[in-house]
Amino acid sequence: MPTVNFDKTEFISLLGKSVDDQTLSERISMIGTDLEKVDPEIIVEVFPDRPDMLSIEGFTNAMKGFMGIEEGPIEFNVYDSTYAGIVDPKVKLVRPYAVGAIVKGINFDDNTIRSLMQIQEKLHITHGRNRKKVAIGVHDLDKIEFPIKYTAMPRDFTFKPLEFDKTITIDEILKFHPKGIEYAHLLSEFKECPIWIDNKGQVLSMPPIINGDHTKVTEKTKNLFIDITGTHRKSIEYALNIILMGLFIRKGNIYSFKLSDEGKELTYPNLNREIIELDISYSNKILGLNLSEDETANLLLKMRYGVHSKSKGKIAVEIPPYRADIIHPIDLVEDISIAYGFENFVPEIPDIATIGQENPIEIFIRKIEEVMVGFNFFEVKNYILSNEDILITKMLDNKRKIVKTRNAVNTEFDTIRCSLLPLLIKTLASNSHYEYPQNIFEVGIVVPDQNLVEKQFLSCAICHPKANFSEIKGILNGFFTSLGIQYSVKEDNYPYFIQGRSCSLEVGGKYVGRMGELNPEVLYNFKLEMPVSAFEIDLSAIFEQFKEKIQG
Amino acid sequence: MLSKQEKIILKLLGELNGESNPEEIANTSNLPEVAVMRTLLYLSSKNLVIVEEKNVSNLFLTEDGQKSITNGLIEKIFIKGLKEKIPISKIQLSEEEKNIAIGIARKNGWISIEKTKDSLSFFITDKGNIALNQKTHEEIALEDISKKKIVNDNLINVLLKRKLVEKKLNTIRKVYLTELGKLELSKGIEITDEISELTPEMLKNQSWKNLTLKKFDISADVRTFYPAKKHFVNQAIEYIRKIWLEMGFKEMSGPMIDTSFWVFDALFQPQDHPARDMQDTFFIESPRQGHIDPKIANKISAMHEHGGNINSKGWGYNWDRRVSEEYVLRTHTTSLSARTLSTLKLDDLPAKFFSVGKVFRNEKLDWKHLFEFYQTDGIVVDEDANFKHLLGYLKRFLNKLGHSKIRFRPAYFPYTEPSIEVDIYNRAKGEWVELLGAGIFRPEVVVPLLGSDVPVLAWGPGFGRLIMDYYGLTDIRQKYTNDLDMMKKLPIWIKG
Repeated sequence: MPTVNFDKTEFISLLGKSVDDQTLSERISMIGTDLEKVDPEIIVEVFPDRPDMLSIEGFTNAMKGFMGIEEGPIEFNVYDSTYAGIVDPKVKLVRPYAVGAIVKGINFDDNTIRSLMQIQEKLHITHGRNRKKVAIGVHDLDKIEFPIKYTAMPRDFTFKPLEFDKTITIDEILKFHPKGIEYAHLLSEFKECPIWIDNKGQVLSMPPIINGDHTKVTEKTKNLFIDITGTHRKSIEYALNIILMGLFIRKGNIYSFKLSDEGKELTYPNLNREIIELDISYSNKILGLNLSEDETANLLLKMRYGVHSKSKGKIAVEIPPYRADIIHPIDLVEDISIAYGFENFVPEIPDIATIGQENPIEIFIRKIEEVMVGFNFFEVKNYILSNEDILITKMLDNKRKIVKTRNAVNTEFDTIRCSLLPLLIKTLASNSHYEYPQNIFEVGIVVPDQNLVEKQFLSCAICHPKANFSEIKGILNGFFTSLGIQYSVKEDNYPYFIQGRSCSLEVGGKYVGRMGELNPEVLYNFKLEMPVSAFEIDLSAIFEQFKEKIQG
Repeated sequence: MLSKQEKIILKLLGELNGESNPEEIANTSNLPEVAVMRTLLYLSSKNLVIVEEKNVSNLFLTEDGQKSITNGLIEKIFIKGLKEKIPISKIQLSEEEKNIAIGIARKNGWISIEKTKDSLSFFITDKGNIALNQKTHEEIALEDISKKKIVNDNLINVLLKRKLVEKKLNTIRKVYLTELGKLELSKGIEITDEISELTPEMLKNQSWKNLTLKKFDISADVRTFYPAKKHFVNQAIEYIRKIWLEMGFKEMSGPMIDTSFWVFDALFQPQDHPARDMQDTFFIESPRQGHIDPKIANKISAMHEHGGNINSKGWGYNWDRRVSEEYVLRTHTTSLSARTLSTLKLDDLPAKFFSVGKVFRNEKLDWKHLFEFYQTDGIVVDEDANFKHLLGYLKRFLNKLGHSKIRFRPAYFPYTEPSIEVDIYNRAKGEWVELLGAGIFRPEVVVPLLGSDVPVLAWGPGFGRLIMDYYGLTDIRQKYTNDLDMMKKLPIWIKG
């Protein structure tokens, strides 16, 4: 979630009312942002569903409603104009969607510039998925010769990018310009790259990488052209509306911009308010409240929706054009609950009878743990993720096909464990400075092979100067006696056990595990200088015969 | 009751007219001095004797002083060497000692020194010859000190300066019988044999009847034995499970390695959602993809693309089935809630479920972050459930966890609406701390899985912090270090 910093003095001046820090932090927390602090700066994490709150203007707009200072949606005013542009069909395969808008009469003081840069950057990262989905360019309107064109150009096309003192090719930009290097991957698969170009052939921008130097915004700029391109039409429209809301609050005058795209004449910005019908019986049912039409409508106005009409328990709600998150009436219900105040709901426990019940395997595991603790064995717990060196190489168990992750940050933990035994030996090795005997066990999930079947294993190891096969077999005898089942041993060789001192274990003629004295070479690999004997049992395999008993 | 040793010493003190010292008692009773001291302390704690302690400083010979008594003082050794015409270099003294010896002998007038061109020659004088045949004052004083006789203070200072003697503080103890001790003694004391170990033989032949068992020092240090235990994280998990069971929840389970479909898509997380990024989620190398039932896949696809057949707009993009088929390590156990909803029938309602399981986040391991940790999830599927009920369940759940002061705050999760963040008040820090996320599943999640828009209340607390706080751990990795010594000594989880 993006963190944004707002200047408190500026916030208070936009809010138009002074508020003490305590009230402020309490109210900001309750509107639905994660507040970090209010002093000396307001620092909040804005939830990803509310990109409109990423700018100080949008944030204040929401807070004004929530704090009862102002209600209902912003009434935008758009002047007609002849500014126009065209979308070249060539871009449809590269970066298909574009919108634009004109804003005049901006007083570019520090606050406005800072705010515009911040919202642009935050929208890029979150809503724009790091410019992939949405990219924004801001230009000096007076440097542009309309009509303009959104097109695609070959990689040897040249222009002078921002922060560069000479004309270079697109390829060079992608290789040498810092922004080019950072975002080149977004264009790597395309032969031609998107370009906004004006009637005189001057480049406005090469989305989503860099603007042209020609239309650079300076402190003298008064009038703006905003271009937004992307891979999802709705998302770029919302981004445009969110930016325009901020500039409108800053007293900018919005002018229309006509764009012909796929034979259609589209006019931007599209500030039409969508209407969603809310059934108040639905919101009352979900919230457990009994609000009237008027009460519900007032709460909606507080959250800066418009109320178009209300009758017969239904409210036609106008959605402001910068609210990207309203896709179902439930989203309105949430805003009603926020406006009502979470602190004003009375928690209630309904009187419904349900019966608590555990998974039988969990009960079985608990019994197994009790038996093992009864032997005075300590239970240890290792990560489910381990690595090939421990699971395979050190165990001399090279024939296994195990399950690896593709992209682990910690390469030491990139493989799902196929057995608990290697982890027990690792545990013993890390405890070699403590007194012996060390007798330990672990119960847990393993994934033995690439069939991805998750199994519950029990592994148990004894470690002391005289630990040997006879002792571990004695313990295994007691273990199976406690479970009331018979087992048999079958001579079997495993690379990590000493030859002739290992066996597989069978219950009812079915393989359930293995046992043996650890091969000294394995102990050497783990740097453990103490004999170890161990067994490992697939609990999932013996659980079946207990299932009914446990549930009975 | 007096022990055998106490009786012996008390009796002895009576014989010594009620006054003695530990050395004397040890010598007379043949008990080791340590045992005498310990027994005297017991007797004095019973007010039977008084042990009076006085610190005095005593003179002792140093190692050099001791040598001087046997071999003579170094100045004597030196002139003896001269007399016997032993070359200076062969005299059995160190260079430093020779220099000192020359200085003293010269001061005493025992030697004369002649300077030649490049060396010094030493000759013994008459006075020196006389000195060889008698003991000096220092030698006499040294012998006196060794015999604890009184010596003139000036001489003592000389010897102290020459480091032949040293002063040491010494504690002198005197022991007296108290009135109570005398009274006890007058009652008569009978000494019987004491044994330290009771043996099976003594029980068999009943000889224990004639024996007294020795009194033990119950405050003495002994070896500690530690019971084996379940791992402390598992002890905490049992506690969490118990809370769910008490509240009437049924356990649900499911795979840890699951398709993205159940971890993300079924929970209405769009396929370009940042949480699905490679950075946060572990993907499986082989096999990469799993199978998804086309029937359910179609419903989810419609929901993402246009909101299916409910009053939703969906996310408005082209849903890619291949993306949803990719295997991942689940990032939350909410995947199990989704799976459970998909198998539930409307006749089974109302129903409540919980899960406890490992979840995975592809993060760097450090003192604050683990790449895998436990999460617990609960859902209430009930036609009549509402937001107030959710708050009620949360309150009760958290009260059971021991949190009384809680706060509900709006939050955002892609699959719940409304969404709640629950804070608990940390009294020590005087601030609210986030504890868990909760909410009501969106219709876009519930309808395709369950077939009907039934409210599903959901919450999923992590309980890592609970364990850390309970055991006072400061580094989250300690949970999986498996330090046997630490685990031996860790108290059991007593909260229940």
